[in-house]
Amino acid sequence: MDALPVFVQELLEGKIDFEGQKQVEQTTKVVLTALTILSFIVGFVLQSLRVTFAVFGSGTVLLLLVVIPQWPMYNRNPVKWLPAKEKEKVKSK
Amino acid sequence: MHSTYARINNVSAFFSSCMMALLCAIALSSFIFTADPKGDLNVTSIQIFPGNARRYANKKARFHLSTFRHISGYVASSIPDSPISIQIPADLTPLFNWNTKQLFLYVQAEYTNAQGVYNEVVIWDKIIRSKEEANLTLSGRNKYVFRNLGKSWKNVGPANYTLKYNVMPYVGILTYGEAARTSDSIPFPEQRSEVA
Repeated sequence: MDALPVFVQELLEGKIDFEGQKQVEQTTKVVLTALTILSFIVGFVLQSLRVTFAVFGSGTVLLLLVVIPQWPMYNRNPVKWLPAKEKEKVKSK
Repeated sequence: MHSTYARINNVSAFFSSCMMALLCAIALSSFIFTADPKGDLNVTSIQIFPGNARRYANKKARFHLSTFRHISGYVASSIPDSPISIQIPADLTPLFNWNTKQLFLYVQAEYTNAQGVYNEVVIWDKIIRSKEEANLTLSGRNKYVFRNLGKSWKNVGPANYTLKYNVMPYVGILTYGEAARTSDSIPFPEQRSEVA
């Protein structure tokens, strides 16, 4: 992992800021719950289990595309770090 | 959710929980479908032949085969042992819903033998995998050898023949039912002297 160039490492790590993390968590919960209910209803009405799992599976794939990669929209609110303190000079004995 | 790995972990965990909930819902949905198809079952001819199994060394035990043919509405030929294709109109389509994987049908003979023991013997079975197959007419003679565990078929009580089914779902519990039953018990005839 350390042999790769730095930007590749950062890409694989996929760090996103706190606002982005909140968005990702919300999106996942809402989409997966809604998808479960939707796929059950659609499959039940059409009386086909194949339809249920097709809807559920494709919906999940779309969700993964939106949520897993480090999209720029998840990095709009970077953490504001305080300025570095001056290092105190070590007093010699 | 701070890294790609954490996001994948969280999303897959919640996905598994949702999948389990979905499967539970599908299993529970089977209870809404209450179908109870009923039909008729007629047995037209039974013959008893001496068998050729040598189970016990000393006794000249004779085990007996019997064949049956069952129809509903058609006349069967009475030539023994000729393969007759016989139709039973059986409409089991109400049993097929989205959660039905396959239907296991079997014909059972229920009788009390000469020693007073109650027997239930499966003599024919079939697996039906789709709604289209379930509406066809079924035909048959016994698929499995029907032997009585005893010296002969004499003094064996009359038998009731039943067509039963087992609904096997994709997710959920197995359910059983009876689709048809002969209206009167049918006695076993005299043994023929040899296979014709």
